[in-house]
Amino acid sequence: MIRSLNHIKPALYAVIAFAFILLTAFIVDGETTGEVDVNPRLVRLGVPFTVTVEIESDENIQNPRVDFPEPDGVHLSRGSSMQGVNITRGSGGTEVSHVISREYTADEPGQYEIGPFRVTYFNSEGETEEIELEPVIVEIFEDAPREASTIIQGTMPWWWPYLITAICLAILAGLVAGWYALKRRRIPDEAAPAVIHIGSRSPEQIAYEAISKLEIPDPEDEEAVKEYYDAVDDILRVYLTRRYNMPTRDATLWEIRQEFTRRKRLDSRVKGVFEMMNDCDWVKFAKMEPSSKDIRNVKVRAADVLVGQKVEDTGGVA
Amino acid sequence: MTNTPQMPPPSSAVSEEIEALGRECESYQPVIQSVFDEVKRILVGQDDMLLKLIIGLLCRGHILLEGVPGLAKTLTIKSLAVAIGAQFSRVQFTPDLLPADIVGTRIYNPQTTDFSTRLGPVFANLVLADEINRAPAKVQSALLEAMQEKQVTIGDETFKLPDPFLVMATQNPIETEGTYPLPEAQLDRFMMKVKVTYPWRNEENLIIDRITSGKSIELEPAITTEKVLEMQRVVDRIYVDENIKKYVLDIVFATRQPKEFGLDIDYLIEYGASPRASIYIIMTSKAFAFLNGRGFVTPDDVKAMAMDVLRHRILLTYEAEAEEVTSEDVVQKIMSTIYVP
Repeated sequence: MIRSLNHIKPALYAVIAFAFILLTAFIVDGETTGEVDVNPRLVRLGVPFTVTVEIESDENIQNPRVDFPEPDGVHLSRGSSMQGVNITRGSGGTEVSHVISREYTADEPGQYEIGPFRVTYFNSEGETEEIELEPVIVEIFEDAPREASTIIQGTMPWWWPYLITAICLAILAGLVAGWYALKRRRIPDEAAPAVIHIGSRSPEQIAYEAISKLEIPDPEDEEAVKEYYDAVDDILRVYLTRRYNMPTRDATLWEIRQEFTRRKRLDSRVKGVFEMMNDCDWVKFAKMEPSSKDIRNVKVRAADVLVGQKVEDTGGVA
Repeated sequence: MTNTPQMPPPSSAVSEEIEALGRECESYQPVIQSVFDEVKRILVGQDDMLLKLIIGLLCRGHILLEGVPGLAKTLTIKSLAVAIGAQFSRVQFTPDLLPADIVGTRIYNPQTTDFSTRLGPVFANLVLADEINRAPAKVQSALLEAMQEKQVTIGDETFKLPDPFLVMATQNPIETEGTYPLPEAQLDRFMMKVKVTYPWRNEENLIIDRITSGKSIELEPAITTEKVLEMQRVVDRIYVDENIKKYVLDIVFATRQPKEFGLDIDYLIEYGASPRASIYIIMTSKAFAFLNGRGFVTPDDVKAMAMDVLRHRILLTYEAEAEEVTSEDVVQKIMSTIYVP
């Protein structure tokens, strides 16, 4: 679980940051003198809707009154007036807001602009003051789809459902990406290595033929002997790569042996190959001086180890 | 002692010289083991650090250690000094240190109206230069010059440093504010840079038991410094084949011209390793072969030593730093690409 969370962390962080930015956008910091709201904005024909006017002021205003207009096609429901006072005490002091709301109903479907709203009130000095507030838009549907008229409150923007959907999709995408990354990182079970055949010949045959074709060097010629064993070692490494699909050129014999032990592939043939490579290392690094018989014996051993043939030492030096 | 690749004896006769050398190396195995055993009476874990110190001793090279405080660096070198019967001194490098505090100075005696020379802490077989990056460049240079020349001149007198002589300098990888990092040219003088890591859980458990028990362990010398000098001479004779030299040169040249070896990392390397790298890889490989009772060097010895010799010798580009590629990554890439002979 923890591993999967690690993989989806970037997606989660992105989603959380995006949601935070959006939420803070709704925090309206600052005072307004008046605000009009409609609830709901998308209404089915025959369902009433409420227009609310909220008036805020730094001074103690009295008897605020709102003139609710009735454009064509929309009319006020009788006896639907509601008025109240909200008192908020904060670090900046006490804020008082007056809330006045009226209920409307529409006669026909369509889009209606209701307003502007004229607000009159007595200020702290007893004088009449007036402000005008912007109109609001309401949409009336004949038979509104359920999602258009449900819980979308007056303060919620129209794109709210789309945002929720996008957030959910982002979370889902993050989870899928994490699962996929986790799946890719799983080490697959060791399968039998793909054997690399060249034409119709097996890697053993290729290696044996290559060793057979090497010219037997003069045992007195140290350089030639070294090159010979170098070549044998190269051929055997290439054989191991082809047969067991394991890179060998950048590994020492000990490292190759360790890897074969780890893979549990130390069969008799591999052990025989390692013995031959070990002899090559002694010639290459430890000044081992093989006799002419030893040098010829390399081909005999190659035949035995690689292709399971018993070949006689025919003698002869190049 | 080491997780070493042992080469089974071949089916043919080995050269007499190599065979004799091999027997000689094997004869020193119990000697080395006795040093290890003595130090391990007090030291828990840190086998790699101890091994590299011994290699440094055998190769007459100096070691730069990097590790956070509390990883038994002082304890290791102090214990090793006791185990080989050598003198030990510790110098805590601070920003107000003076060169005379390292090498020594002449002191005026008003009664005799004469100067006498007081030798500094560098005159010991094993010297611990703690937090070398905290001292200013002048002080660092005084030590490094002594390391290079194996002698110190005070006034008009020249004094030879003792033999064997090993400086183990430490750098604290944290708290680097107000430090004077060693420049690359000076870093190159250290044969190896060894990174010291935290102990394993079971080791730390044992450390707690040992330290909090209140019992003190007194170490005894297992060998003498003459034996160390003897082993140094044997290490000098360890056989290095041309194939091995070619392999080492390929590795070092790959740090300078990576493209020629099919490596697409030249944009990561500002400067490759100097010829000192080739020299030290060979020397440390010989010491490693000696410790494994072999009279010749194999590619496994080279692979075992190359990282510690190269990690502080490769200067990386800004692109490497931006991609968070370390010198170890570069060395690892090279080692996994260069063909083994």
